[in-house]
Amino acid sequence: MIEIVDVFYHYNNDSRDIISNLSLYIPREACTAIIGNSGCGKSTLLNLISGILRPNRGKINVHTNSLAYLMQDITLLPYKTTIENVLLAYTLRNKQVDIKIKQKAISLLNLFQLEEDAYSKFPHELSGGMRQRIGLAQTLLTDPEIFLLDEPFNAIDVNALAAIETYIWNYVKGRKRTMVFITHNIEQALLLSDRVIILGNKYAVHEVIPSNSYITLPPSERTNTDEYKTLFFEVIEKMKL
Amino acid sequence: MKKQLLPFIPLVIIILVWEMMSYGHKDFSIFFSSPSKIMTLFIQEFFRGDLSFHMIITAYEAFTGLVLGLVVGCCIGFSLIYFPKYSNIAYPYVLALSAIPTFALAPLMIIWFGTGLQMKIVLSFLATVFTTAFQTYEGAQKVATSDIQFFNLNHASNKQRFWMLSFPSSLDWVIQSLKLNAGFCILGAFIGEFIASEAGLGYIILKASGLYDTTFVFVAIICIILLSFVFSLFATLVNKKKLRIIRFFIHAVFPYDESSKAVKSD
Repeated sequence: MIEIVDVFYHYNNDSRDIISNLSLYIPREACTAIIGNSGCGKSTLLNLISGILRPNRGKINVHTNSLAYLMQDITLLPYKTTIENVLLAYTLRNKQVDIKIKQKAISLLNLFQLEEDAYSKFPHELSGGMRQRIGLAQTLLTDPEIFLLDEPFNAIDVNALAAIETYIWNYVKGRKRTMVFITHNIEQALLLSDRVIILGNKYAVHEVIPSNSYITLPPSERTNTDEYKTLFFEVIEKMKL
Repeated sequence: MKKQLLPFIPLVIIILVWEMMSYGHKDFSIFFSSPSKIMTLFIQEFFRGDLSFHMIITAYEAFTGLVLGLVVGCCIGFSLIYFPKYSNIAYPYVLALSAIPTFALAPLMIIWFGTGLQMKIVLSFLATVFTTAFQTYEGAQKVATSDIQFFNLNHASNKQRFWMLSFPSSLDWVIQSLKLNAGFCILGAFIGEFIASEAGLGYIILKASGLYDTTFVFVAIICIILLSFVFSLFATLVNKKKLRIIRFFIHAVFPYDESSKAVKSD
C-alpha cells in the first residue's frame, strides 16, 4: 500500500506548488492508473513515491523498499547493447547475472515483439518504441513489489501494445504485485486498472473505480458496454473539475 | 557539377591569380613565390627524403606529446571525479593551468629540458594535458540526472556509478575533443621547434625565412597543413570507433559489469 498524507511539494526555484495538500491511498496488489492534464504533477507524484524527491510537507508511507520505477527518460547506457541494457537494472541490484536471467530477458524481448537483430544494437540505433520496450523489460526483470511506470506504453505500436498490456496485467495480478502507472490515454487507464486516479484542476483529486477488469474480456466486448461508456465520460468530466 | 568539388573553386582561382601575378612582377615573386615553384620544390624535397624527415620529427614530437597528455590528463581528471573532496581544491588549479598559453612556457622548458626533442614533447604534452583533464572532469558532470537517479533507485554501488556512468561519459568527451587536442599538440611541438631546434618543420620555416627563401617557407607551411590533416583524420577515425573503445576500456578495467559478461559467455 502507498499512503500519501497531506503532501506539499514545490521545486526549489519555483514557489508555485506542484502538489498541494494531496492525500491519496493506493491499495496493495492492485493496478492504479493516474491520469490528468499536462503539468498537474503526475510525474512529480511518482518521483515522490519512489523517494527521488522528498515532500516539503506531509508524509508518504510505502509498505516496502522493493520498488522499480520506469522514468520517462529511460536509462539506456549508450555503450551497451540491447540485451546488456535490459539486464542493467538487474545487474545493479544483484551484482551477479546467471544464464537463467539472460534467457528470461530474451523471452521478454520476444514477447514484446522486438526483432532479434535489435538485440546486439546500441541505443542510438533504436527507435523510440524499441527503447520504450527495452525500458519495460528492464523494469520487469528486477521483479519488485511495486512498479511505478511513467507513461510506459509511449510510442509502442498497436500490434505489440495489446500483447504487452496483457502480459503486464497477468504478471502483476499473478504475482500479486502493486502497479501504479501514468497515462494520457483514458481507454488505457480504464482497461489496465482497478482504480483510476484523476488529478484535476487546482489540486483536486478524483477517483473512478471500474467494476470490471476490461482487459480480461475479449476486445470486442470491452468498449461496447453502457457501463464503460459512462465511466469514460465520467473520467473526462472529472478531469475538467 | 558535384557538390564535393565546390570548395575547391576558390583554391583554384587563388592559385591561378597567384601564378599569373608572379610572372609579371619580380618583386612579387620574391615576397610570395609562386605555386608552380612551391609545388616543384615540394615534390623534389619530399622525395629526396629531407622534407619527410623533418615532417616525421614534428609528427613524432606532437604525437608522443598528445598520447602522454591524454594519458596523464585522463588520470588527473579521473582522480578529480573519484575523490570529489579533493576536486574542490584541485579544480581551480587545473582550470588556471589550462589557461596558460603554451608559448609562455617555452623559454622555461629550454632551461629545464634543453633544446632537444624532449623539450618539444614536453611542450606538446603541456598543450594537451590540462585541456584533457578539464574535459575528463567536465564529461563526468554531463551524466544525465535521470541516469544518476536510476542508478540510485537500483542501489548501485559507488564503483558501479563511477565505472558505468562517469567513466564512459568522460571518455566520450575526451574522444570528442580529440580533434581540438590534435591541433594543440602540433602547435606545441611547432612552438618548441620555433624557439630552439635542429630539425622539424618549425626549424625549416625559421631557417628558410632567415634566407628570404619564401618558396621553402611555403613548402613547410604545406607540410604543416598536411600534418594537421592527418592528425584530424586520426581523430575522426577514433571518433568513429568511440563505442568500441569505451567498451574495450570498461571491460579491461571494470570487472563488476556482469551484464556484459553474461552476454559474452555464450
